[in-house]
Amino acid sequence: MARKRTSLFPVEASSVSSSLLLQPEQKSNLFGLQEAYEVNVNDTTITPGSSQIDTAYTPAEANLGSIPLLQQSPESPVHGHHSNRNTASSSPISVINSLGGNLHQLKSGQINRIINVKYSNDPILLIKQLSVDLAQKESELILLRQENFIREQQLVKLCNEYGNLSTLEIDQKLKEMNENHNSNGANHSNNDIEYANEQDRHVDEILKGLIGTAIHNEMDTTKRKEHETSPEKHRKKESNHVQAQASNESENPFYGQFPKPKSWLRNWFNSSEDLTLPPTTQTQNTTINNRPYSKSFNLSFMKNDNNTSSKPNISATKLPAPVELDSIKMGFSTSSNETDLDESEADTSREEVNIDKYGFFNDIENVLRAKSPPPPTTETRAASTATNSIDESQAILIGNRDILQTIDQLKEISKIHDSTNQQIEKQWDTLMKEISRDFYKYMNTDHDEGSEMFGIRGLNIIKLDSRMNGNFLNDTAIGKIRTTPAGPYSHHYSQLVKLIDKFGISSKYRYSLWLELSGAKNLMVNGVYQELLSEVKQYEDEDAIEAATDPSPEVRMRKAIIQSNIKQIKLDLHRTLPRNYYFNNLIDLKPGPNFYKLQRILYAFIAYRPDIGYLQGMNKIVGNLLLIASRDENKDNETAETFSEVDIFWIFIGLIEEILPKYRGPNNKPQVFFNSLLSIRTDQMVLNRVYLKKFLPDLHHHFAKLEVETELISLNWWLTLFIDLKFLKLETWFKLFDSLLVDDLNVGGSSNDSEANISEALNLSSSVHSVIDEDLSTRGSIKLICLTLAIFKGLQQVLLDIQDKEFIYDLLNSNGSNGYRSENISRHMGNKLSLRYDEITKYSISFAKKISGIDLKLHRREFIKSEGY
Amino acid sequence: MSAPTSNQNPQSSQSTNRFAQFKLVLLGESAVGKSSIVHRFVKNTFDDMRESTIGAAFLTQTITLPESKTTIKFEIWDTAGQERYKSLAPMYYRNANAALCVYDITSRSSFSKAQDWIKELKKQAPEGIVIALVGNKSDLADSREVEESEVEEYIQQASEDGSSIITSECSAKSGDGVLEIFTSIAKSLPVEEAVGAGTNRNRAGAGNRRAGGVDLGRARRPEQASSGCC
Repeated sequence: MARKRTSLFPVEASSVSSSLLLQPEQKSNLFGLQEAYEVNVNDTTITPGSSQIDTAYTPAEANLGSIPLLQQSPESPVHGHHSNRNTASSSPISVINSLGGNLHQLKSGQINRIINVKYSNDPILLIKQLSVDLAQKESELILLRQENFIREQQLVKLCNEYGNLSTLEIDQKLKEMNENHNSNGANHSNNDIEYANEQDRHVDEILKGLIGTAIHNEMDTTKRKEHETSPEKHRKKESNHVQAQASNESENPFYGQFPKPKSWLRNWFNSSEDLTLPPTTQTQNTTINNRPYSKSFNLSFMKNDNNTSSKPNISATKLPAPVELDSIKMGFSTSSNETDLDESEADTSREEVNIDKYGFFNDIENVLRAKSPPPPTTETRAASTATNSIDESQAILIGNRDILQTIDQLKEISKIHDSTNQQIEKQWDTLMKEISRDFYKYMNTDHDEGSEMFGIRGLNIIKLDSRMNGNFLNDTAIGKIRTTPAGPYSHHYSQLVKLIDKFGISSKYRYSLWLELSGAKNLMVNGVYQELLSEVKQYEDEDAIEAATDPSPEVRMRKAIIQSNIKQIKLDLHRTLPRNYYFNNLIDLKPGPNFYKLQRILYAFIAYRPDIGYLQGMNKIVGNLLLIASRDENKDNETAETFSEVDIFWIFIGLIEEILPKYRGPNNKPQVFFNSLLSIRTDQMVLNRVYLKKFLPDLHHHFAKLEVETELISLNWWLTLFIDLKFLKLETWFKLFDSLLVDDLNVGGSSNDSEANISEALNLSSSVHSVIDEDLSTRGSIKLICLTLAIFKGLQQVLLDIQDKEFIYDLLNSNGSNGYRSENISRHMGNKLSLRYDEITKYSISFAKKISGIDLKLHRREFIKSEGY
Repeated sequence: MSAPTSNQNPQSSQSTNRFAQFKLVLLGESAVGKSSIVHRFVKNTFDDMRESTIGAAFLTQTITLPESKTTIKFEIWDTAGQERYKSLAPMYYRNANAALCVYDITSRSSFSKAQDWIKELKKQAPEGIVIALVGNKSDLADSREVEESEVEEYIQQASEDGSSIITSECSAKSGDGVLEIFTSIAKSLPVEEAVGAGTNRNRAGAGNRRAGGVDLGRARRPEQASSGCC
């Protein structure tokens, strides 16, 4: 049985599939398959919710349309195979050429002839070859299984990340679902033929379904007009197909559970819009602004010119681990002259752009190629697309059953995901309701608190908690409460922190919470941003010589500082997120909107704090923060407030003033993070040579052995607030940002450090330019140290397996990778690198309990002494 | 095009018996093309859309000197160019065997910045460090601000103390001159001294090399033993 399956359906591991994609006939096609059904595992795994795949789920009703992609000969009466060659039994040459698979269908005489002609009359040679081929297929199968297994793990991880579901629960659900599916499958094929036949039918029908629906989708979304003119037969079939879909919807419980899409995942599943942009038309480009994360999905078909039969290649760019289901690649190219396909090809001006929900170009090479003159011809473009998809995807052939199961599993996962999202939302709703209710009940008379419900780093919540217990506590007492892990006094606060640590801030509340917790709301003064900007603009245009003629030396100084900062900012603007549509519009070859926003924010910043000025790294932090804004701007959800450019500016100020560690400068004055490179450096020494050694000794030893200088790695993480970790999904990074905005519940062990915490709390209540107690300087550092350690811990297993120093640096430092985020890396590392946010915070909290501020200070001093600074 | 292929690994040169590893650091003003030079050397690519380097990046590349039958592996630290990062530079040039001080031939200020780096290296860096003064963007000769004669002048003056500085121009964009720079650095490196250590590194398993190497990157090469820390 197993052998029959392999013979019917070639299973290719990724390592070998590319060659097959390129030149199918050059591969030993032993098991009689000339049609290569190539389905990229990654893509199929991400497509379950898209309607076209849903229909493919019921292959019996789906149809191939009028596209004779699969040329079928009559079924062999013996085995029920769909032979792919009409000539199989008539022409000995073709038999020889395609020796192997259909050997069993031949008459003994024919086999004899083959042995004569090809094997010099030595049957043993034939047997040997068969056995070699079998072994090869077997090994490919094993590789495929392995791939699938990894895939499944990845999916489970996805569930874990979003669903907070245990692996057991997922297993159970999948099992149930598989059982359902098996019984469904039997119903679909209302045939009493033997299982093998049924399965074989399945294969073709599934594929037909997939192909058919993919084409339908293409027609439906972008090719309306052409579609009207398509053959009657096709249209008829399409109506069948629609019916099938409709009936499927009513039967399929999943559909019932998709009422109004809330999460972006749902949006994605429900969206049928195309991100396909003809570069020539301005009007269409605006679509991208309105819908940055609408997704489209096509399967690409490429006719291989050197082949007699048309070959359906369902292939697409391999996607990163779909933990965030960022995007899906679309590609549609064909040079086929058959039926509808050539009509779609008629639209040659069409270019396709693959942009993820945050505006990152996924197939930048394609975009660039499309931009480079002369424009490629249809043929070359088709070829380049083919090559490209191979390069990028290493498409994997997977078995039909696997397709079905993967689709089902993904549906299940998306269902779990969505219901989990709802649960998380609910938890947030409940907490926010409680807080707001109690806030107005206990705090509304307190004019000191203003309108801020949360306060900087949640201070007002702590006050609320104490007020609720009848304690009109002063700040000293609040400091004590902060150190109590989850005591009755800190009910709301600990709930808030726990929720943030577990899920990150719900996107619904992120806007208001970021503004309050970061201190932005407190710092914000209307009109200041514009004032700062107009000042800088004036200096920007002014000549440096002109500036020197200014009357007061202070003004001259200020101008000089600002101008030197402008110079550096200008050098970096083009080098910030150049692969992101919002920063670099490669379609129109002009800077994107965020390019100018970043410029303005950085300009305003250098005028607001010329004493800090611009430091490389700020561009990355602000740039990526702007992506949450651009995403929100385009959100269909009109209720959620969105971050404006000004909001991001003040959040960045708040980050510096209130969130990031502050150090002591040479004159013992408090110094903000970005002015403290040497102190940051010292912290890296402590982090890596003391804490890493102490808490992750194996990893420390491993790094030492390979001579990896971890302090240089973590330094980059700090300077970019971890955005430099390229495999950290942007979504996860936003959550990390969430967690930076609140203090851990129990930092540094409450017992020996409570005094420090009290003074800390005291300082928290005073505003912006408060005198910073030295102890406060350790708070921010401990948070960053713990997050760094947590990330190392999360990656420990992967890192311990890597014996190559350069690879470790490459993995952990994005400078060399040129702005690609996780995509490239996860291609190599699979799911191993998908760091889960709740995992990071969990580890981080456990480290925080072990590191006290006093301890940190002692180690810092030691290092400063030993290094002679 | 004389750029290296990225596949010159030590294994490919079984016949060469000698292997040495050196640490090289790139210094220079922001946006002069440090990262682009490294990527041309290491990956033989040029990218218009390079992000600015923050902190530093680490890459390696191996070249073979046929005349001395030696394979040399460069461990390259490509640093951020912003002036404010200067205070971190010692972290990177500590233990370095070679330094590339890069300027942009279309920017006079970048040339004087490169001179500052040379000055600092002479004062702070390990003794015997091989220094190269490299003018990038030679493809933009039309907007040249730094003449080659000026460079010669500077070099004469700078080598009065007996030190020698390699000078060259290159274009990371076209690839011209990039490999040549690294080759001439390789030729100037104390290969003989390092070969012994390098062979050991290569042959000995990763496990039993310098047990408990906590003090990362220290005392790696003979000539560094004498060099104090920054």
